[in-house]
Amino acid sequence: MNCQVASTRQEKAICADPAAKAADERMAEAFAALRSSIPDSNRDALVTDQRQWISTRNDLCSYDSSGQPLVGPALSACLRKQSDQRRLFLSGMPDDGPGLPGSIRPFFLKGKGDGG
Amino acid sequence: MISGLRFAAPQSAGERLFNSTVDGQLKNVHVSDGSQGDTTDDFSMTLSYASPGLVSAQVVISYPASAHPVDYHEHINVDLAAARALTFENVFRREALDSLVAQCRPQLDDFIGEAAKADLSDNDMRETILKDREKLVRTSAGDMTRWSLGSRQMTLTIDDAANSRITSICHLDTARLKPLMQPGFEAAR
Repeated sequence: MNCQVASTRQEKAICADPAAKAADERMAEAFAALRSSIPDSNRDALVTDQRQWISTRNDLCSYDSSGQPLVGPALSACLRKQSDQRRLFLSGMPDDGPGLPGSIRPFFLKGKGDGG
Repeated sequence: MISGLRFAAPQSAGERLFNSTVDGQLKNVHVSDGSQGDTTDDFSMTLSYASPGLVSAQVVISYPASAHPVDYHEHINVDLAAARALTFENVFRREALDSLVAQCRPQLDDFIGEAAKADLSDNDMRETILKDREKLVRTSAGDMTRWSLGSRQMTLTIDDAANSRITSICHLDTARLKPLMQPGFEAAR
């Protein structure tokens, strides 16, 4: 992420917190590794899915359960968690257990009418 | 948008079973044909646990085109060595069900406890609704497609999408569940 052009509250929070930034960078590495390893025909769907994930992440990291805007450490923690979960998905690794590196991989399907 | 997880090059019967179970879930998902207003359902997966012996994954399907979009959760638990989808009897002792429901009850207050009672304003229907919810909790606890497995935690997801649109979640420590598990079953393997 280019922090010089960070525009949303979530992007600014990632750039302001070293741990959230590191989690975002690890997620970005997993994205790049997957993107380079899948056929061209699937890349469009991967990018659409990533855009959708960013939108979902921003929604999930907007408000706490009582409806108050997430700020400060709580916002950073939420963003770290979302980035970590996305990294695991992109690399086909589990939340728990040793995993099966290289065996399980993400797939993406996009309908004809889907935007992105 | 549809995104999921599968074995890229399945080598064993267990890996093929996992993939075919994912494919079975995909049959419930509508893919847009490009006509006006037609959208693809949302399908996503999370890998809760994976090892050479066991894979546990959560599937979430939602229907964004619906006027009342709800999420449906399913869990895929495959014993890779035995090439079988795990059933309640494979994982837990038969008598475990009562204890699982009791251990989850404090976490389900919004659904079947005092908070749920207070929330249900219709006095006539309250008892019926709560009775139905109790039944759903028990049915769900006895169904491994409602559980995600792990070495640290096991999670029960109760979908009442058809009625209240409430999804309730109960997390239990795997270590505390050991006495309820079948002697041969190891969550972490």
